Amino acid sequence: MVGNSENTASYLHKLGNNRLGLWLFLISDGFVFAGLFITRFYLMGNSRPELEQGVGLIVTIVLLISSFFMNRGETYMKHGNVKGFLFNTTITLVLGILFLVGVVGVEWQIAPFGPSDGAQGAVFYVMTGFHAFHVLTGVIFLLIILNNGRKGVYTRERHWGVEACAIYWHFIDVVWIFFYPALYLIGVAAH
Amino acid sequence: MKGKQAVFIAAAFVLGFAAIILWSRANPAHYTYKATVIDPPAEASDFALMQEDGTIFRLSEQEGQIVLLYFGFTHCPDVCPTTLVDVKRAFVELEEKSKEVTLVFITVDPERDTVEKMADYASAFHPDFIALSGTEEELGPIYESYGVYREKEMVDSEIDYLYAHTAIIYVIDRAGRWRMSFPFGMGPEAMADDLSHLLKE
Amino acid sequence: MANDLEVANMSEEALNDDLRAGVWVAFLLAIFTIGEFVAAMIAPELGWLLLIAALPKAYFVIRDYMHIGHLFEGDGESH
Repeated sequence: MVGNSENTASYLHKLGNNRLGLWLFLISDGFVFAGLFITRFYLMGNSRPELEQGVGLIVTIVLLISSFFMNRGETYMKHGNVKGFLFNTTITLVLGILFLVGVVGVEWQIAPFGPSDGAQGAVFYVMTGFHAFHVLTGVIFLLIILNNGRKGVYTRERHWGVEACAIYWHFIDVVWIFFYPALYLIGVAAH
Repeated sequence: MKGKQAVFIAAAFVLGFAAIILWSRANPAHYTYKATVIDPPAEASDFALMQEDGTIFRLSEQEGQIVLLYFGFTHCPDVCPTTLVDVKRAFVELEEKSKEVTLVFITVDPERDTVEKMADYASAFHPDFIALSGTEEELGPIYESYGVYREKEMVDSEIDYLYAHTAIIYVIDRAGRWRMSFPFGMGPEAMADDLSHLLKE
Repeated sequence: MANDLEVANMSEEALNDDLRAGVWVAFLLAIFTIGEFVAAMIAPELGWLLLIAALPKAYFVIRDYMHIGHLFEGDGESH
């Protein structure tokens, strides 16, 4: 909790540093995802994993909509509207969990191949697994800020936790924006 | 992000995409064969050999069909079975179109491989495979004209000897020209891809 | 004198402007996603095109949702 004695200038200075720190972290995390992305093309070339298009499209839509609500929640908080923040961030949480159910609970179960089934298996499970793990940590992050929000920790002027969670959540979305076509749309489905 | 901007961007995107897709439809990309292409196409020397049922198989009479010429022998431990299985799988992938492709299996071991033996062997892989044999005198010129390497290797087992031999598949198009070769290990998917493209001619 | 009602309305307007901006980004994401899906179904040979569709999606999320612009403001600005 931010102490009242801290003046605004000092808070804003820290805020600038916090943002930089978060972005640097995301860039380094991004390198890992980029490596996986490139590996997918190196290992499978113009071939792609054999997957259900319907499931892929649905989970993608779910994640994109979750980003919309995350943005909404953060915007409400930016204007000091805690109720709006809680409502929209809760929807984000629900959609995030839905995404995990869709990928791990559905797609992983119905995929006609396992993690050790050649390039297809390695590429698909590592990419979606690593991404899903990030979604899971994002979900935990959301739970934390929702709880804090309920307790009145965040204000219009000071809500770095909310901003950080939102940026992290959108980052996960950006990764999927590239992973989705790479796994589901580009290339000829392997048999 | 204002409304007008967004609509404009969306429209630009949709139009741009549609344009690219339509343009690529109008100008289909040049297909790159995975096989080793012979450019310009070489002559596929004609030959005639007796089949199991007594009829003569003549290469020049196969016009309209794609002919896959493969040289091997029935005692071949690995290379020939692998290749013939791959071709069979390629045929499966081609489905109906495989009827327009003929695989011809010619022996490099006329001493042991009678035409009956060859036919037996080949039909185990696919009923439509054609198997040919002949005398050393009949086959010699064929080996030479196709540049088939064959060398007898004595081995210390009950089969006495093996043949080291050219393992490529000679792909002869519908017009009877030698267009490309499938290297050993090319795989059924690549073969089917190339054949389905060659069939379009 | 700036009365409370005016201030409240202005901030309500600011909120709605910001919310609406977020809606437009979502609209673009939807259009781009539908576009890339349709393109993948009807022209599967154009794999590279689909990655091109991903780039503007990423751009708008990074610019308008992640507010990458804040990084370059220095210490002066608030949330």
